Amino acid sequence: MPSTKHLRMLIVIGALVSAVVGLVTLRAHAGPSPEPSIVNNPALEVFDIPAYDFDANPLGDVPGAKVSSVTEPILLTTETPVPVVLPKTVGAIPDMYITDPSVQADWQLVVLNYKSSAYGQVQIFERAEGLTQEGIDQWAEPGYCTSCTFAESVVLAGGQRAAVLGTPGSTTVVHWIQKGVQIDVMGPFSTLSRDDAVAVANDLSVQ
Amino acid sequence: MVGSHHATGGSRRTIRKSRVVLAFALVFATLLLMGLSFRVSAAYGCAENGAIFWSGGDYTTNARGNQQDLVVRAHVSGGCGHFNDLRAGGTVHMSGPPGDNLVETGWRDYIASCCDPDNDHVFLLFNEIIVSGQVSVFLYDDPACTFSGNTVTMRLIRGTTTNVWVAHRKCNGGSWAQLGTGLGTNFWSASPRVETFRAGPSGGGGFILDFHRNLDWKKPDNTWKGSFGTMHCESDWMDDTRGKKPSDPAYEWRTVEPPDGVEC
Repeated sequence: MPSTKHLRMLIVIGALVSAVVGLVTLRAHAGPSPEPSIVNNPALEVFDIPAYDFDANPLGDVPGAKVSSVTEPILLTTETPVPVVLPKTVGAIPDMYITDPSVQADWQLVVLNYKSSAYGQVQIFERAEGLTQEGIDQWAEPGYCTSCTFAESVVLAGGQRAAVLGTPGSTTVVHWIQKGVQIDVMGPFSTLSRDDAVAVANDLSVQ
Repeated sequence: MVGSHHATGGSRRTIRKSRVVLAFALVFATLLLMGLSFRVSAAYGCAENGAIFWSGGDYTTNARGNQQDLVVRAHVSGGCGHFNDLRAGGTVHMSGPPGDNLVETGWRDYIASCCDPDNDHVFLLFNEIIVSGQVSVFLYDDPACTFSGNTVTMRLIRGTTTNVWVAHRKCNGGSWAQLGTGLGTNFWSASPRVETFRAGPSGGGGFILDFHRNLDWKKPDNTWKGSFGTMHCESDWMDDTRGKKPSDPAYEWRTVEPPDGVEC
């Protein structure tokens, strides 16, 4: 005759086996989902492309021109697809990349390329078309950016509502819209801090 | 008594045998756990093994839609995964304007369990948007459509008056189903591409087989082209996998092992 101890053990084992069989049966009868259903977003996203190269031509293969050592007087005589604003406090003179007029309207832009002693490498994209205010706000919502270690909404010195985002191994960026131009302040995550990116954005936002 | 004495000796031998079996079982279980621990740490120790991109539309950056039949496939990743146990995937990809911008939809093959990285797979559909190097990914469970060897038609299109892109999937000739909500980008048109990617291990042995069929992109006048036009290799970060198009205009594209195919 089995002892009480053995009986208890048998009951526990029986309960565990029943639970497992029950779960397997339930899963087998659940059937396929007729429509795609969302599952939890990954906590940290992976990259299938190399990190953005701040040393390369920011226009890539897109036709355009480079203007070296851009100052206010040079800006006055240079034709650009958007009215360009320069920050006052970055402390370096940038090179400027301008898309060719033959490029489609939604890709027309200007890139100011800084190598600043104060902030390191910083690129400022000023776009004829870009994110909407709704899109900017969406990026600042908690959990929307799956690669970010910070993503927040800030009101800049000029009153614009901006999104500030940072992804390790990639970029730190501030997005906002100013007088119809969509501006991105972007730098390497490893060298451009959240506060420095916002400082550059604040500077531009009041120009 | 004698019989009883013999019976007592047999019980002792049985107990000794049981102890020996138990000891062996404990040693075996310990070794098994050590082995599994090694495998788990290996699964999280591998780097990305790259991706291939080919563009269509004769270098156009003016596409407002991209549609392809993708064949979901189970990939062997040599026990190596990546963050989130991702092995590989195939995607319908739209590359946007300068400054690290894109939108894509496709399938992904994940390791089902960190303790069994070679044998089990979880297939999910996904949407991804990158704006200025920031990534947002949405994963979708679709078991009726997403399993190894099955074809899922996927597309990205945008509305007439918006730069918000929407992904759809069609399962085995069924009707279109929208995949999640719209993806608000900073572009109205883009370069249509095929993409294959995989995670670990780097350095050989990592050929990834991937088919993309019935390639099509949407022209600025909002009509479909009917093919991918002339395709070009845009980038290839995999030593052991290349891309190949059977024809120009291209109706399909696949990966092949070197020396066949084109590397760029």
